[in-house]
Amino acid sequence: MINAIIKGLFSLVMMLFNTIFSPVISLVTSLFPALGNLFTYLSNFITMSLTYVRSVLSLLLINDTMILTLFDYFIVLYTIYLTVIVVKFAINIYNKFKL
Amino acid sequence: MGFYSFYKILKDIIRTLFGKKILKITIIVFLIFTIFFVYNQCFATLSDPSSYIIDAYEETVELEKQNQNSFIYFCLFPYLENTESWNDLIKPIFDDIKENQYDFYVGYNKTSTSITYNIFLYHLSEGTVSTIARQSETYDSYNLKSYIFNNAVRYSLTYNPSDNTHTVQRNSPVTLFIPRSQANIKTDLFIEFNKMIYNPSDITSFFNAVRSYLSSIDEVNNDILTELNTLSSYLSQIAQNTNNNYSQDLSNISGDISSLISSNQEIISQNDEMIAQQQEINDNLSTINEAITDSTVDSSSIELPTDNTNDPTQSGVDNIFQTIYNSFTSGIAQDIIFPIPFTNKNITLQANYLYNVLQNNNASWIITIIQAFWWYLISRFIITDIMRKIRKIKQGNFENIQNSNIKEDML
Repeated sequence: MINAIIKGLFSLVMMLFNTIFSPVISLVTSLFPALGNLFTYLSNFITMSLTYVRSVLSLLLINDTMILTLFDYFIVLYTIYLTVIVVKFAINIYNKFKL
Repeated sequence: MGFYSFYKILKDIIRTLFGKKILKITIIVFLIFTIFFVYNQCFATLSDPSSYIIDAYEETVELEKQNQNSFIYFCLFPYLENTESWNDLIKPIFDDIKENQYDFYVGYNKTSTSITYNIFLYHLSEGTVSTIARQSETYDSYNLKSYIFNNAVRYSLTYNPSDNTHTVQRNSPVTLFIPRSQANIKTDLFIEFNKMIYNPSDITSFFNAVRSYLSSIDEVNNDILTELNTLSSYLSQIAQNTNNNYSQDLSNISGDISSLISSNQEIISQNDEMIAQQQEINDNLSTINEAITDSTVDSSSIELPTDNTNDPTQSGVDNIFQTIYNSFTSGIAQDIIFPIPFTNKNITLQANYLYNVLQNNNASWIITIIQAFWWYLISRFIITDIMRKIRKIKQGNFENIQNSNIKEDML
């Protein structure tokens, strides 16, 4: 029962997000058709600029476990934060549109 | 310092979630369950299991008695009809075991019998007792012991109810272990039947044993019901073979059998009614349970307008994050090369230069200290970050707990 409620809630949230943001995405895609290229260039730039980051970390004697700990912490933190924000957002939208 | 802060954070989280009073109750309940669990794990095996053993023993004894009584019924037809199987196969077995059949104590080097039963197949074993197994003094009050048959001859007696035929097969001698439940147990029916074989004129004791057997039946199953339906006719035939009048005994036995069958039919009807009610209750419960626990979620039933437009921002942001993640965690540590202008030469700084220098000069303790410092810095950042977010959550300001000022957090 609880499983069904949670799954249903998340399905509703995802559907609401798709519904709300679809026109925005369509608008952005039509106005900026080369947006994908921009992100590719950004990604290449970040790759190039971070070429020596591993070397610097190695010279500072910072090992992989430390970096992974920081990344995992941020991933967990922002997952919880974004989940709560998204659920609250969906509930607000639901309250706005309900009769 | 770091661990103490971490302890304070955990304490804060638990207090925030449960509150102080409930926290104390939770700790007390947890301690009680822990003590109970440890007690069960450590001391439960020390409790005396003899009561369970005695219960199991009594059940197997009852089974052995039931087997013997069924075996006597098995022998009735060939005995009455004086068939070839009786004269050639079954009667010699009784002749062999006649000498010791009334002994309730099995002694060394004496002959004994044991009967096992498996749906129309009896294994009647006969042999010499070679070893009396040791038993705990706890069970000496039963005056029963297990023993081992040496050169035991096992007879397999098979009854085919379809054509009412009996076959007996004599197997090769083997050594058998006879458990206490099968050792020295002789039912009255078994004993009196043996007496009747060799003294057929006096069957009063046998009839009394039959009545005693009937009175001991608590629950009638299909096998016993089949026996009871033909038992009266067998007993009438036995009575006719004698010169005495056993009409009163026969009528008593017939009355006992009739009351057993009628009570069984009443029990069967009651059981059928109970089973039907139980089935109805189970069906209703299953329906309710399925309705409550139904976890089927069909998202397609939510018919909202959808758009399958590819979102370039999503894939782009994901790609950027993945690039940063890979650069920090799984990238290759390249040597840093500084070119010297106009000389066509380079200064190369190896990525693991510092590590190699310290490691090769017996200064690995410096590596340990530096890495401990980094660990302290990262731990402190994470702990202070969590503490700040908890403080903001307690103030009800959840949306604005994120702060990108990492420099402030670090310092």
